[in-house]
Amino acid sequence: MCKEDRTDTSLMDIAVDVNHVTKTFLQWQRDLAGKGLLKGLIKSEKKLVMALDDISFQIRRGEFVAYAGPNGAGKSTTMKILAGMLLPNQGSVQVLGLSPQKDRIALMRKIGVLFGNRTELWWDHPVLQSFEWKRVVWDIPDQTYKENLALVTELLDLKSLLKTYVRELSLGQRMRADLAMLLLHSPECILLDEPTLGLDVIAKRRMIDFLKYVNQENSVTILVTSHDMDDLEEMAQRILMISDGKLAYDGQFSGLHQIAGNLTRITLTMASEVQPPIGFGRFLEGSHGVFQYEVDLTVQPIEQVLFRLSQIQGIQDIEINRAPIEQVIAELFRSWKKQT
Amino acid sequence: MEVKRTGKRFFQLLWLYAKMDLSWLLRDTFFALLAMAADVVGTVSAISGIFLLSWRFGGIGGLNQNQVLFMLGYATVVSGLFQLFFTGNNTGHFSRRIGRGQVEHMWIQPLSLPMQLLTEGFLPFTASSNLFSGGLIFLIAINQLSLTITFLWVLRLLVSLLISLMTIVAISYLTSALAFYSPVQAEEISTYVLDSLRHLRNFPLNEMPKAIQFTLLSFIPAGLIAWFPAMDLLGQTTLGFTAGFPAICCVIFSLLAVYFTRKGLNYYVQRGSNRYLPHGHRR
Amino acid sequence: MKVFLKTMQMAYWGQTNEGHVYLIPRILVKLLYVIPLLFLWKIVVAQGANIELTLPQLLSYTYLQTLLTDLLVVQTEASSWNYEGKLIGFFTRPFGVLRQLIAQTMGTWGPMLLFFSLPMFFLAPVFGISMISQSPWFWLSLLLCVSLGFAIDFIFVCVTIHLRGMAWLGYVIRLSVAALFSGSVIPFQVMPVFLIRFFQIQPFGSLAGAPLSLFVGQGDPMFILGLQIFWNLLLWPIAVIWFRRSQEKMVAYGG
Repeated sequence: MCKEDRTDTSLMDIAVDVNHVTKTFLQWQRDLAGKGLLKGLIKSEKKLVMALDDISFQIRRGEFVAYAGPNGAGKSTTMKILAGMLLPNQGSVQVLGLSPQKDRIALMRKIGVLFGNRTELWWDHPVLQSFEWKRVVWDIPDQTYKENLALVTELLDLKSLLKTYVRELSLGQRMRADLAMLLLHSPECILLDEPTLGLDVIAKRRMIDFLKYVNQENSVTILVTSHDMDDLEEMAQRILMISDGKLAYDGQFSGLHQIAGNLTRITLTMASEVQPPIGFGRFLEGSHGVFQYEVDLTVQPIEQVLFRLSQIQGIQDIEINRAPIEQVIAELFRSWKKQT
Repeated sequence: MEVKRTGKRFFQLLWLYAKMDLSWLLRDTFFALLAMAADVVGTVSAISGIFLLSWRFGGIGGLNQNQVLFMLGYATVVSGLFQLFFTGNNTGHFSRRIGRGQVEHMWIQPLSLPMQLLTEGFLPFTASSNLFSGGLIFLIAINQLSLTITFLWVLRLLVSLLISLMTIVAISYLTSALAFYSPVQAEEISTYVLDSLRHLRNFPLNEMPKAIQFTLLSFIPAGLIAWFPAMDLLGQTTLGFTAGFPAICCVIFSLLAVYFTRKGLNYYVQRGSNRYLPHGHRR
Repeated sequence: MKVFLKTMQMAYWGQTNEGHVYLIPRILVKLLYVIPLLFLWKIVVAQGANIELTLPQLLSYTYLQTLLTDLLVVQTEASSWNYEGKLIGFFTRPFGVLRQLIAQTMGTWGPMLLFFSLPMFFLAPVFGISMISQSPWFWLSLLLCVSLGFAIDFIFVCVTIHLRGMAWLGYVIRLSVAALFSGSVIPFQVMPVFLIRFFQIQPFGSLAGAPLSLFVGQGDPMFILGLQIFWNLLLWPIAVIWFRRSQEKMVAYGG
C-alpha cells in the first residue's frame, strides 16, 4: 500500500472514537398458544433489547484491536455503527475524524468494511472484474490500483483465481478475494466482522498473516471481531471485550489471563498408568499414562508447584502451558452471566 | 463544477455497468440469449390478451385495433426502458434490497445512494430485448395508422416516454418504502405493484366510468403510463386533462417517493436489519 | 396429516408474523386490478360483441378468478428456494419434499383467502355478481386444476435446475405463458375463434380456464374434466420422475 495515499487525517492520532454510545432494538415476540396467540393477532408484543449500553473506547492509528464477546453481546451492532449502517440512540462516533452518519461517502473512501458471511464480489463475474468495478466506483488512481493488485495477488495467492467466476470459488478462496478487494483502495482503517468464519486452518493462517503484514507495514488500523480467540490473540495487541452491551474489558491479552486467575495447564507423562496424587490443582483428564491438571498460579505459586512435582516418583515428562485463551474467555463469560 | 463532476461520474458508472453487462453476455451467451428471449415472450404475452380482444372485436372502447396496438407498443417501450435502466441488481425493485437486508452493501460504497440506484441497474445488452420488441410493435402501429411524424412529435414522444418511465420508478420506490417497516411481507411489494401496473396500463380508458378513469389517472397512475400519452400522441381525447398532467403527477409521485424513502432509510438506520439474504445481490 | 397441517400453519404464520395489516397493499392491488377488468367486459359487451359468454358470466368469471388466483395457477417458491440453496434443507426432514412444497404453498394461500377472498365472496351480490356455480363439477375441476398446477410447477422447477438455477428466467416465462394460456385473465371464449380450441386443449388450458368455464356454465363438463384428468395423469409422473432425477443437481447447487 502506498503511504503517500494518506490524507490529512493521517496526522490524527485517534482512528476510532466511540463516545458513550447506546443502542437499543425492539424485538418482535410471539406466543404460540392460548390468549397470547390471539393477543398477538391484534397487537404484537415487542421486547426492548439494550444492544450497546453506554460504551466508550478509542483506537489509535495503527492499532490492531480484537473485539470479542459472547453471542448477542453487541459486536456486530458496534461494527455497523462504525460503518454508518446504524445510528446510535445516544452518544457519538468518529472514524478517522469523520462522522459515519454525516460523512459516509468521504469515510468509505478511507476505510474498508467486510462482513464474514457476506461478499462484495460479483457472483456471475470473474474476480478481476469485481476488482475493476471497485477501481471505478472507488475512483482508485491507476498507479495505486496496479500496485495494490500486485501486492494482494502475491500475498493472498490469487493469481490462479483472478479469472475464475466468483460462484465457482470455495469459501476460503472467496474470503481471500474479498479481503484483496477490501484493500485495493489503500484504506487507513479496516473493520472486519467475523472474517475467519468457515475458513479452514490454511485459509485462516493466510488471512491472519496478511492482516498482520498490512497492519505492521502500512500502519493500517484494524478492528476485528471473531469467536476464535486463538486467532484474535495471535493477531491483535489489544482486546475489547463486550458483554450484554457493556464494555467488560479493555486491555492486553495477558491481562485477561490475570483476571481469570492465571490458569496453567500441567501435563505429566508417567511411567505407569496410575494417576499420580499431586495434591493441588484440578484434574482435567488422563489416559495411557498422560495426565493433565489445571492449576491457578495465583493460589499456588510456580515454585511450590515445581517443588511438589519434584517429590513425585515416576514422572517421565512435564509440560507446563498457559490455559488456552478460549477457556479463559469462557470462564469470564460464565462469571459475567452469573453477575447479571 | 460539482454538477459537471457528478455528471461525469454518472456516465463513467453507466459505462462501467455497460461493460460488465457486455462481458456477461459474451461469457454466458446461451443464458443471456435465453433471458432475452424470455423477456420477449413475457412482453408479447403481457399485451397479447388485450390485443387479441381488440382483434376479435375490431377495437375496444372507441379505439380501433391499430390505436390499441399503438398504445400497447408505447407501453412496451416504457417497459423496455425500465428494464434497460432498472433491471440489474434489483434497482427497480428496491423493496427486495430492503427486505433481504442488502441495503447495507450500499452504505459501504463511496457513492450517494441515488447515484448507485441510477447506475447499477443499467443492462444495455441483456435487458434491451423488450425495448426492441416494443419499438417494433410501436413502429408497426405507426405505419398502420399512417401517422405524420414530425420533429416536434418525436420530441413529445421522448418526453412522454421519460415521464412514463419516471412515474413507474417513483411508484416502485414509493411502495418499496413499506419494506423498511415489514421486510418479510413487503419484500416483493414492488413486484406486485409493478405487475399490476403492467396489466392495468394496457386497458383503454375511453369508455370506462369516470371513477375508474380518475383512479387510474391519479392514485394508481396506470393510465398515465400508456393510455394518456398514447392518446395525446394520437391527437385523441385525454378526457379534458392538459397535456402536462402526466408530468405534474410524475413530479408529485417522485416527491412522495423521495420523502417516504428517506423516512424509511432513517427508520432503517435506527432499527437495522437482522435479515440477510444474498439472493439477487450482485447476481 | 398432522405434519402436513403443521407445515401449512408455519407457512401461514411466515406471511403474517409481522402483522396482518401488511396484507392491505396486496389486497388493494388485487382490488385495483379486478375493478377495471370488470368494467372492460362491460365495454366489450356494450360494443355489441358476439361472444359465447354473457355479461353476467364474464363478470362472474373474472371475479372468481381474482378470488382464487393462487389456486387457479399454482406457483410454489421451489424455483427461487433452489436458487437460494434452501431446498436442500427439505431433504433433511422426515417428510416428502414434494409434500413439503405443497404444504408450504397451501399455507401461504391462507392469509389472502381468509382476508380477501372470503369477504369478497360475500360482497359479490352487492356488486351484482353471482357466486353460485352453474355446474356441480366445478369443485372437482378446481381440485384437478390445483393438482395440475403443482405438477406443472414442479416441472418448471426441474427446468430451472437445468438452467443452472436461473429462477427468475423460469419465473418470467411461466408468468407470461401461464397468464395468457391458462385463461385466467382472458376467457378462451372471447379469443379469436380459430384460437379457442387450441387454448382449451393445451395443458395450461386445464388450469384456470377449466374450472372457471364450468363455474359460469360454459363448456362440456366431461370434455373439460377429461382433459384435466388426462394432463394430470401425463404430467404428474413426469414431474415426480424428473424431480427425483434432478435431486443431485438440486442438492449440489447453492453450496
